[in-house]
Amino acid sequence: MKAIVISEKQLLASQVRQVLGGSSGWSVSWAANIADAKASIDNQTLVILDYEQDPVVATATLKRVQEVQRFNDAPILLVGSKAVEPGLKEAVARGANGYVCRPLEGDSLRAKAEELTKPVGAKTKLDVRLINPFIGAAIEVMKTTVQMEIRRKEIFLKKNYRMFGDISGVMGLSGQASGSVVISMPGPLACLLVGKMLGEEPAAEVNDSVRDGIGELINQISGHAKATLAGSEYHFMLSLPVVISGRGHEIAHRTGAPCIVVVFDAGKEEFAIQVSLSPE
Amino acid sequence: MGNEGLDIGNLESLEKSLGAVFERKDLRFLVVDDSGTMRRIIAKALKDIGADTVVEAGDGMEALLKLQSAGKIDVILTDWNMPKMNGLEFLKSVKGNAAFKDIPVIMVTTEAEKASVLEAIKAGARNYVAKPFTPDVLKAKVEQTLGIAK
Ligand SMILES: [Mg+2]
Repeated sequence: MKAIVISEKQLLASQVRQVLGGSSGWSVSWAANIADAKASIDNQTLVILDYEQDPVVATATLKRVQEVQRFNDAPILLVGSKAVEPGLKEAVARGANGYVCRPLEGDSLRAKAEELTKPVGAKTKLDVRLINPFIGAAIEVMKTTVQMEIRRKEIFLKKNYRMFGDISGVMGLSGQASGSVVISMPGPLACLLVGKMLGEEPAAEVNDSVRDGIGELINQISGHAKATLAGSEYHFMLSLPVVISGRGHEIAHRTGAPCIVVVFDAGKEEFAIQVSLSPE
Repeated sequence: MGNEGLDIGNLESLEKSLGAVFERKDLRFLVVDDSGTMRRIIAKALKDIGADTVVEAGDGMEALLKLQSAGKIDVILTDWNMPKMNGLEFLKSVKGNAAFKDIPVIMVTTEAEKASVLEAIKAGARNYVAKPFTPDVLKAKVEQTLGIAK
């Protein structure tokens, strides 16, 4: 378990290290600002952000932390004094995952860190029988429909339901198993993929045609995986794709189902497939 | 051989082959898919094999209306998962209508499991293309359906 503390002063990092280090087994690093944190933020389990700042700066900082994390959305825990508590609550509404107040108490910090880093859903184990058909489907659909070779990168259990792409295609799944599968990516990549599907120049920005193409991609990926899962406990029926765009949008999943994220390399960019499915 | 050597039998076969060329030039398709992107991809492939007209519809309901108004249609290509009326229901409507029941229908769908293919064939589908497909596969299936396979 790794935590990064983003704070102008090193003091907060030392305090956190005292609580979470040692027998609690966390390794805690310190970054003075987002720019310093950026390089190592991808493999963190938890981001602890000093929120003792001017509200405008604090809001902007939180947004930057969410942006630089991309798909690997480690939960964000804020630290601030009682005096800034209304601001902390507001930040939680905007996507931070929790806060603790100064003076720091070891027990509550430890409890909060554990609570936030527990994967969502009942199961905490990754079922390869479920995820492999989706990985295979994504690779096959990208190769055939988009004519692009992609490469699987990391795979992890998600800790919240936020998506970090600018655009997501969502397919609701029902029947013997139910849940959803989502494809999420940055806008320029969506424009490129749909351009390649049509054999045309990519659109300058996400428009209706790009949204339509992303909807069809998740449709094809879900259908391909469905055929592979026929006869298993995960067999499902397809609904119709829904496309959501806008930065930092949140997608609700079936509660209780674990949420698996697979990140893929597509040329110079990345996209993610998020599968949340459980047998009835 | 000069002109005077042409006999009536040769003329007939010449007319026939000219007719086939003409027929092929006047190919009219109905493409049904809720994704405009897919309709464009399919239409492009059809134009490559000589489609003259590609009529598009976004769901089964719209497709039935288009069938009434579009005139002669040689082949229907339809998706399965669509709003309002899905492809299987649309296929059954087409096969249940005396005016349209002879138009060959090709399912072009992400529903790729055996059970789905069987269900569609039983309902009267002539051919089946599973998504994702390459344009070449689609073209081959359409030519096969039209009986103009090379
Ligand atoms: Mg469809």
